[in-house]
Amino acid sequence: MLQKLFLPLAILAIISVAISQYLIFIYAPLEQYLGYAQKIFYFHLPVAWWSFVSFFLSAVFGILYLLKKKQRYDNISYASAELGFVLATLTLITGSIWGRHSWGVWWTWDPKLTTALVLWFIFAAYLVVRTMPMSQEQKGNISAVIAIIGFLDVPLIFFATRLWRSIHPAVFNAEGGGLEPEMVHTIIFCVLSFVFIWLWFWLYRINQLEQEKQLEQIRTELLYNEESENND
Amino acid sequence: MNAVTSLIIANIAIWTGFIGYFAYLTKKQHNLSQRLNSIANQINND
Repeated sequence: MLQKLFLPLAILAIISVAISQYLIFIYAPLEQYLGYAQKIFYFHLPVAWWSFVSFFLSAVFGILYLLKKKQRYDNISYASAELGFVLATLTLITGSIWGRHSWGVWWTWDPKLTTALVLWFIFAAYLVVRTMPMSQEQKGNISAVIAIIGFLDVPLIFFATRLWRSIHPAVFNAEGGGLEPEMVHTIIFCVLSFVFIWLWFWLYRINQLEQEKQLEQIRTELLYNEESENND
Repeated sequence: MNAVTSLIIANIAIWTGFIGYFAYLTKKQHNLSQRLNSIANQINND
């Protein structure tokens, strides 16, 4: 059933990307001080926020797996974590490129950047655990705990500019962020339209994990039947 | 690094990332299909 959604989602994703690119490069005005480099923000913010959404879902389905022990919850948690990791990597890369231009350095141990890097390492560990030779249940349990702990870092990242003295721009602060209306329209569209790309990858990966589990079950049954026949 | 170069590199990086992840998933799907065919053949031969 999931497979029926892939083509419509892909079409919507392509259309929304095309519109986003027009808004970013043509519609949104140039920022007064940073010029074209400010437009990196229109890529950086959507991937960052959707990585948080992914990690949130990974934690939620991790909790559900710990409570209910249903394989499907583990599959969704895994798919979410993996996608979140990819998006977090892109967040760090785009942020570094922006930082190199704006601050003159690729990296600084700013609170927001540091907590974001911690999050990246936590979910890197999550993915390493997924490759380790252990029982499915053990893997699911350990991964779920890592996902829950990892997600606790997300509010720290989000509020880092308010909690600590951070040089990272606080886009949506009490004063409204100082963005012009066209910039606000562009960033809202970019964040919301990213849902199609996100959904496509998320559903595709969940579907793939479900198929892998079904395949493993079939293989196990075949092996069991073969052994039974050999013993007879 | 000037502003335009930064923007272009960021744009390339992000889409390369998505294409790379897409290629990774497609390869996994291909491996999955091959394993499925192998099992189907095994069942047919039994």
